[in-house]
Amino acid sequence: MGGRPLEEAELVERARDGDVEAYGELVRAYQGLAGRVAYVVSGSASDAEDAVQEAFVKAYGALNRFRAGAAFRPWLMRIVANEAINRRRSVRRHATLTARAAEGRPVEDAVPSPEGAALAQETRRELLLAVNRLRPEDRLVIAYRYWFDLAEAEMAEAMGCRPGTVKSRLSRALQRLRRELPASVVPSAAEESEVVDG
Amino acid sequence: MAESTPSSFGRALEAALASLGREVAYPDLPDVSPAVVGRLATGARLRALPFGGAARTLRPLVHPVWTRVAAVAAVIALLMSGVLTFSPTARRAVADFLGLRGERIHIGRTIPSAPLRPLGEGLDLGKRSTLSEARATAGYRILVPSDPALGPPDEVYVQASDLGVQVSLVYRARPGLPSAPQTGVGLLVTEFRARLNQEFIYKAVGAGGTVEPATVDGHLGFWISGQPHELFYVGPGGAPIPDTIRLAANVLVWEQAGVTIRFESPLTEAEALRIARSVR
Repeated sequence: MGGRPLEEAELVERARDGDVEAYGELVRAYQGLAGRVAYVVSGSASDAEDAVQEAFVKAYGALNRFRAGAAFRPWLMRIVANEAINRRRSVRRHATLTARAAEGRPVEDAVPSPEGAALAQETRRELLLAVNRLRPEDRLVIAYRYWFDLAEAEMAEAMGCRPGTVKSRLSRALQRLRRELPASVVPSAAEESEVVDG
Repeated sequence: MAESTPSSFGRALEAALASLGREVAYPDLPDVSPAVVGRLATGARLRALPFGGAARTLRPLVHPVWTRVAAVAAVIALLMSGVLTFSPTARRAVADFLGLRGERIHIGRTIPSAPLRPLGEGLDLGKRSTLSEARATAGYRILVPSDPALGPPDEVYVQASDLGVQVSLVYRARPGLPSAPQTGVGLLVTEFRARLNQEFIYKAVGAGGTVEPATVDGHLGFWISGQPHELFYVGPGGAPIPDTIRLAANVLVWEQAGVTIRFESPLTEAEALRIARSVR
């Protein structure tokens, strides 16, 4: 990471001046992240690839609106996410994120028994299915927080909202996720009243 | 998680999500920088043209008619003057810029018939390869139709996807092998190591098409008409893995020797089955 901000700022500056090759450097640096963001939204490799390519082209056209000195990463993530979400609106189907085969590996780190491990595997599968059933916006806010480990300020930038709104959006997404989980996973109806705010 | 007390459920859910995040199988997407740079560079060149100046934004959502006409005129002018030597990427970039991908620009009779563009380009098939190279890298036996009327594939592609190494054989349309819309492709054969699951197939196709069981030399398969957009296969971990259908055509898909083979073609079921039975 060391040295990147300076180099990045310079590349952004050169790209803004019309240096397409400098922009190509930025594309190469961020396309991995952009691909993950788009994939979380679309759940399809080919849709994600199209969204990423289109988002990078659009981001180049929007560089004149990028504030000098601001963080490029969340700014770009916002464009990628918007592109992927807009494309997905025309395709009415659930996402199909998949998890790598994790033989015997539970969702939680400590599982006391083989029965527990089997249950955790089942839970993990149910959780993934529930995540796939969410609206892309909800899936994205969950991914930003728990999968990409974004700080609240960065999430706000990436989501185009005030930092104070991040928590409530995340909370609502988690509530909707819980509603998508089968009763066998959610312990009790009374639990529904609890607000999960991390 | 189900053993947690109600008050700790929120935290357990968060922990489970964090753990799940480490296991999400993100696809290995190809490097998009050449395509992006190509599109931007082409856009800059077109904008530099006197009448191309109107097209200020790349791929605007709605092209005013006159902008589009001017832009097409710019392409025609470029084609005729030979200002740009169009590599396949540049041609695709130009089409992208104009929002014309998938549409043909007809100029007299010369452009459509000129073998300018590889058949498989734009179908997201991966890297152009050869049959022998693909056989060496696939890690499984690639089955090829031996029907003499079909002959060898015109193009071969190899791609690393969620389904492992995917090999595609492209056959040019010809008499007796009609073209899928806008592609010039008569038959696209895609092979990969995955299993078929009847439920996945029926669910993916849904109400948008019809699925009928079909057997190819005793191997289980499905005939799908109605132009499905994607199908799901059973990946190595048992998870459903989607793959996009590339052509607007019918699909015959079956499993043979641990490999799933998919035909996309405007052929009828009987014709597709005849070719399918000839794979060796």
